[in-house]
Amino acid sequence: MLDDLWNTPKKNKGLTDVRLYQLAVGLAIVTTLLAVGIALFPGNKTTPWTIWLQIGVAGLVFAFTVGGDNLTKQGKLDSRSWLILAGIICTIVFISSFFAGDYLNILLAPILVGVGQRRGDGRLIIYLSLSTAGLILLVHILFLLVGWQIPQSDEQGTIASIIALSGVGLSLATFLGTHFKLVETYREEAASKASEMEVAHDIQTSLMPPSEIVTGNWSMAARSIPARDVGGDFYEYIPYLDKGIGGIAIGDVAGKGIPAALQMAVVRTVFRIEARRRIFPAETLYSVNMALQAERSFGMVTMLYAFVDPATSTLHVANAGHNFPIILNGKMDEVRLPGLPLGIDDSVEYDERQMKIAPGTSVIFYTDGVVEAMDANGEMYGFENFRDAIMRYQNLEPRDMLDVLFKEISDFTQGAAQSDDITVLILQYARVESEEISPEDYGQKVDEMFASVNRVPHEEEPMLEGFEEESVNWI
Amino acid sequence: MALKIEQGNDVTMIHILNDSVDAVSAREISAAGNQMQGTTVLDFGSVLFINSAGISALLKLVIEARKQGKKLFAVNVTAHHRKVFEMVDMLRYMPIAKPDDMLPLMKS
Repeated sequence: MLDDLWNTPKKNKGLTDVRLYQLAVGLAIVTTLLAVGIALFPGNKTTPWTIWLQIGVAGLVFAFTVGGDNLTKQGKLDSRSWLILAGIICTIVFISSFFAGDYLNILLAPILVGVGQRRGDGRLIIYLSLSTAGLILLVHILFLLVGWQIPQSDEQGTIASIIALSGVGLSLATFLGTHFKLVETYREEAASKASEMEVAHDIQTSLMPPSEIVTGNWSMAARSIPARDVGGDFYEYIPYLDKGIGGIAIGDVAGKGIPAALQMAVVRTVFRIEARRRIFPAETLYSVNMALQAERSFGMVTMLYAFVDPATSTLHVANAGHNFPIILNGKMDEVRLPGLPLGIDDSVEYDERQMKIAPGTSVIFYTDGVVEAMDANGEMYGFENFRDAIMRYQNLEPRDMLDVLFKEISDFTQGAAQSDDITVLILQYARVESEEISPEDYGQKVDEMFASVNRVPHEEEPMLEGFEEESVNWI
Repeated sequence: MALKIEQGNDVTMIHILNDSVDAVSAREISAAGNQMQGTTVLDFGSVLFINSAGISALLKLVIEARKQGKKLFAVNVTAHHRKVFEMVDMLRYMPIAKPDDMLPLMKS
């Protein structure tokens, strides 16, 4: 039993905690031995029956304080039984105090500490102690009124006090032991979770498409900073921009952290499958939404899908509730294309907009974390600041523009905790004239594109077969 | 409670008292859905921030209400949230109205 007590906190961790705990247990044992020694010292006066009552009750309390706790740990005494037993012993102590002296009431202390310890609530110890003191005072007043003379303690009271204090010491030691054990458990769990989150972050980062692609006259750069280790923002490329069709998607799963990251992985997978089956962004988003509707408890996802037809320099856009992309070409325009986010309703169909992209144009896609980035006072960065920053840096290359935009946001937030994932993707069409491609060359070019990004060859891609037919119709 | 609900002449006015609409307060708003009458007005006057979970819950609420033939209006919406509502197509289901236009409905 003492071994059990002694080793409650793990010895190999939290050395200071273990020493404190061992000190408390040691103190409790020494004071108990001292008390019994004083009581039984041969030179003591003849002990009246009351001192034996005191020692008996104190021993009972001490045994209960130590033994009850160990029986509970071993599963032999459930919490309810412990409390009933505690109530009975408190009653014995209380009644005995009327015969053996009011100092005996101090023996209630270790039991009250034990109740607080069991409930894991330190404040309960204080509440119970105050309530008990009040009750004792009340009984005293009542007895005084009816003329009952409670025996006053002398040296025997001291013995009971010492034993009670040792009990309190033990209870507190156990309380501390349990507390430290919990702290150790939390520390271990936190370390384990941190390690898992680090791995999850690495996996998510490795699954993200390349952050920069330059092909011919088209270049793209993207950056995503999750609010936590992993996030729900994503971007995706459907190969390939130059000399053929190139799809770009950006999305934001509602929420943050692991739940958002898991949902994001599902959305990306569904999107990749659907994007390869269809060409038109509106159809693709419709299909992704239908697929997500089939998933139970799937949250909301905003997503924008655009693809470039380089033969006509046309951008085709469909939007499922995502931030409107910004077209930058000396002046600034927004593609104001509303749409219900994915995962909200299964009867939604998406509109699609087409627009010519002139050389020297940049298209900025971003998630709401950009405009809703907050400083320490809760002020949002906002659309205006973002638009102003884009205008200031419109002549930069995509990667450089990302650098300055993220710096602007960082300067604004001044180190305040990031409340949402932040993602920006910039597509730029250089001023140099693009190479003309005949529709007949598309198949071969697309093969080259897929080969260059190490993806599945087009024989297994229904989208590409469809693409050839559709592309002829466009021209 | 994050909401104050007023009932008028076939009109329900739901004042959102929280400064942010998140998953928790959005659940309260959703729960208030069964108190909606023919016309419901959501007052965003105190709202400074709506996160994605809040938007999601609001969208589900307004779409469901519209499917039941109810009319919804939003009042006191900030410029920022007006834009967010536009992006997610919320305005199709819940147009933004002027508070002054809604008050007579409550009194009539």
